[in-house]
Amino acid sequence: METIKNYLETMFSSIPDTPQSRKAKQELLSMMEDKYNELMASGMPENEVIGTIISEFGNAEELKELLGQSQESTAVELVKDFPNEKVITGRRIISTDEALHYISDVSSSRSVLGLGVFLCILAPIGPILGSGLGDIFFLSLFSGVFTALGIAILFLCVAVGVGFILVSASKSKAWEFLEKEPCALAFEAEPSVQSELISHQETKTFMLALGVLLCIVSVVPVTFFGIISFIDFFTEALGPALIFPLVGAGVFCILNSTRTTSPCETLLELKNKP
Amino acid sequence: MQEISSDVIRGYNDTIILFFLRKEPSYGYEISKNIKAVTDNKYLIKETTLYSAFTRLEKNGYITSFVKEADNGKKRTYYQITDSGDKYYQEKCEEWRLTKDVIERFINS
Repeated sequence: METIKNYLETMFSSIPDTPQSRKAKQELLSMMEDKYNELMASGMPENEVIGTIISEFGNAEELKELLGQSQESTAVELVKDFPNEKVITGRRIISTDEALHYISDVSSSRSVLGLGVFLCILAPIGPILGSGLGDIFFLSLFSGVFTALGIAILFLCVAVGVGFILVSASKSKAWEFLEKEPCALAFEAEPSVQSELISHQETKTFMLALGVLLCIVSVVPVTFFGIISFIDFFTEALGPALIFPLVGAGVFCILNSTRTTSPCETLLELKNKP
Repeated sequence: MQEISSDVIRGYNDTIILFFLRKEPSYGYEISKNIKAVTDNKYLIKETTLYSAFTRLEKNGYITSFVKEADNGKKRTYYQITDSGDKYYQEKCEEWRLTKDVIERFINS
C-alpha cells in the first residue's frame, strides 16, 4: 500500500496543493485502497496487485485536466465548501501529529495542575487532624507531636502541590506560539480533532457533574458528625477535615473535565483568530 | 482484443454512473467494480475518470455526496442521485437512442 501512496504523491507532485486537489487525492487513495484490499484478498501477489492498480489508475494529464477544469469555478466553490481556506495562507499550519501531540500535552498538563491544586486544598487536613488526634491524648508529649506532624503535613502538601502546578505550567510553555503566532489547523487534521472533541464530550459532562456533586457533598460529613456528636474527635476533627479532600477531588474533576475538549476547541478556533 | 475507445464512451460515463446511483447510493470502488461486472470486463473505468465524473456531476447538482463509515471502520464518500440527476439520466438515455439510431445507419453489417 505504501507503494501506491508514493505513486499517488508523485502523480500529484506537479499539481498545486489546493483543497480540491487534496480532496481528489484522498478520494483516489480511498478507491485504490478498496481495490488493493480486494485484490490482495483474492490471493493475487502484491506486485501484481500494485501493477494492476497503477495501470488502471489513469494518467497525470487527466488529473490536471480535472483539477484545472474545476479551477474555473474555484472562486465560487472555495467560498461554498471552504469558507476559511483563504485565511489559511500566511499562517503556521498545525499538522495532524502536532495537533494530537498538543491535545495530549494539554490534557496531561491539566491533570498535573489538578493534582497540584488538589494537594494545596488538601493541606489544612494536617493541622486539623493533628490537633484532633492530639486532643485524644492528654499527655502533652503526644499532643505536641501530633500538632507538629499536622503542620509538617500542611507544608509538605503545599510544597508538592506548588511543584506540580509549576510543572504543569512549564509543560504548556512549548505551545505558547499557538497564542502568539497566527496559526491554523491543517485541513486534513480537522476531522481527527473533531472526532476527538465529540468523543470526549460525554466525559466532560460527567466529570463536571461529578466535580460539582463532590463540592456539594463535602459539607455532609461535618454536618452529620455535628448533629450526631458521640465522639468529639469525629465532630471536631474528622468532619471538618473531610471537607478538604472532597472539595479537592471536586475541583480536580472540574479542572479535568475539559482537559481534552478545550485543546480541541482551541485548535478548531485557530483559523478564526485574527 | 479490440479495446473500447475512451473518446466515444466519455460522453456516457456520467450516464453509466447515474445508472447505478438510481438503484442506491454508492461509492467509488463499488461503482467501478459494478461497471466491470455489467460490461463483462469490457469496460474498465479509470480512477481518475471516475473521480472527475463525480466532481462534475456533483457540481451540476446531479448527485450529492456524504461520508459514511463502513463496517470495517473505513470512512467512504458515498454518492446519491438527485431529482435533477434522474431527469438528466432520462435525457441522456433519449440522446443515446437517437445517436445509436443515427450511427447504426452507417455501420455495415
